[in-house]
Amino acid sequence: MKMLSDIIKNLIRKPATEKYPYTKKKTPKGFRGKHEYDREKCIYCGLCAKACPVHTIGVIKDKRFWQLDMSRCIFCGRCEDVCPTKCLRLGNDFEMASDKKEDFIIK
Amino acid sequence: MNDDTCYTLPLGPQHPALVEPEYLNIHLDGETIVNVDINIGFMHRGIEKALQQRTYQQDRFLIEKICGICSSIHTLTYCNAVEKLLDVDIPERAKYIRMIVAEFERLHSHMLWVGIAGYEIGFDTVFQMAWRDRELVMELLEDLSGNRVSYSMNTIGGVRRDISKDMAKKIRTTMDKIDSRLHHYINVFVNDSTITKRTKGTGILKQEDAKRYSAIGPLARASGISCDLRKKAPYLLYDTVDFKEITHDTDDVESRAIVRLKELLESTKIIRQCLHLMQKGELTIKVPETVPEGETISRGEAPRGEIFYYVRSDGTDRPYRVKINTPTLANIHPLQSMLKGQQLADLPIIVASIDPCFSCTDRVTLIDTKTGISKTVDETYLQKLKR
Ligand code: SF4
Ligand code: SF4
Repeated sequence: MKMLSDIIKNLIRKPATEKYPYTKKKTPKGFRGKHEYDREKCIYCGLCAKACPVHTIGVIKDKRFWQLDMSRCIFCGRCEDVCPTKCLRLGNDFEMASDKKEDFIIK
Repeated sequence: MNDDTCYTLPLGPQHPALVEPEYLNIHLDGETIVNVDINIGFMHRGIEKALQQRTYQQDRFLIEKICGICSSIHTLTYCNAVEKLLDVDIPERAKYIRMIVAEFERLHSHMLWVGIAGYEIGFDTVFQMAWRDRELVMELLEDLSGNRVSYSMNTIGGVRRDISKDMAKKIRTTMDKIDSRLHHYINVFVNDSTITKRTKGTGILKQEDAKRYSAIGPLARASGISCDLRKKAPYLLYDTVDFKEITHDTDDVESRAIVRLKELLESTKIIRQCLHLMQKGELTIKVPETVPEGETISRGEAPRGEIFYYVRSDGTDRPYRVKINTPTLANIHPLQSMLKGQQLADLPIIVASIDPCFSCTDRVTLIDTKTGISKTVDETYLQKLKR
């Protein structure tokens, strides 16, 4: 009955779980969440598209086209690592559920 | 077994008692298990083929997803192999960070196991408590790498993120907390009669059986076989830190619990030493995209046992072949010997005591039902079939 003291202590301890979504957890520094993309700074070099392991970024330099499909992204952060102008980074937003496909496209 | 007195109970591939799909055919005499047929192959994902179609750097992220629990040791072993082919030596700080993350992984994997063991013997308090304490490690990992499960810390040529001074301090205090919890759990698993009644003497795997079935990892160490790769074939800088290899020789489920828990005390010791020995320095070195022709192997001690990687390069930026061997594939076979003569009610805890990970175990195997001969097929055979 070695766990008995633990069980009794637990009766008066406050819950270990977080009451999400009522209290939102602060994400740590360096969290890998939804992408933040700054079109002004992008030079359309296509390095991110080449690095992405799931091929979810499309870049066409001549047309100044850049698009990312988040629904395929695995949030590895490789695109952020290779971007020479640091215009693409993974942010703190992790609530990305949606029933519309367009919401997953970042342009 | 076609004995008339035998009752055959098929368990799986989908069954509430199994977390992952696997098929056990259990032959019963009353409540006693007479024999078990183990069938694997319900989760084959074709990862080895997919690895050949991506570059070495991209493969890291697929390899990390072979197993959610052992994601760091998989990439670590793979990166070690590719670095051997490239003939580069990564910075010392990166080696220590890799070791710290690998030990974090062992901590949370074994603590998860302690919870599951509690759950399987119907002691849900242990289950909830162990998982609550596991959160301490998970939070450290999230702070360190930005993600709870796929840490993506290792890269070919080093690691991606550094451990800051504040972080190191936080790790040290958390390790102290974990140590005190571990001592408590060891006490519980050794002395609590509710637990020992279920774990003592169940699922015996004698040392010679363990050798015969080639058991590895904590399962073999709980049968008194010393097989820790961190001691036997040190990789990274495991030879510079001081720790003990834990073995125990009561051969039962309790022994496995003790080995795992005591191993964690060594892990926290290793983490503290790594933090102490780490010098300031580079995290990565630049490595070329293409890998020179050649082949190599690399081994690592995962929480569940030995992980093995064979990588062959044909001089391009994509591997020609990656062969992966995972611990559960070796540890699932001793189940046959462990289950014989046991009560059916003890089956869940005995199966859980090998800490199975089926998703990394499955291979494609064809069985000829007429002759009973089975063979594992390779890619060329499958391509021939396709035509
Ligand atoms: S985070 Fe990874 S998967 Fe997602 S877009 Fe960037 S490189 Fe691709
Ligand atoms: S790597 Fe950066 S700069 Fe280059 S295309 Fe991608 S987002 Fe733009």
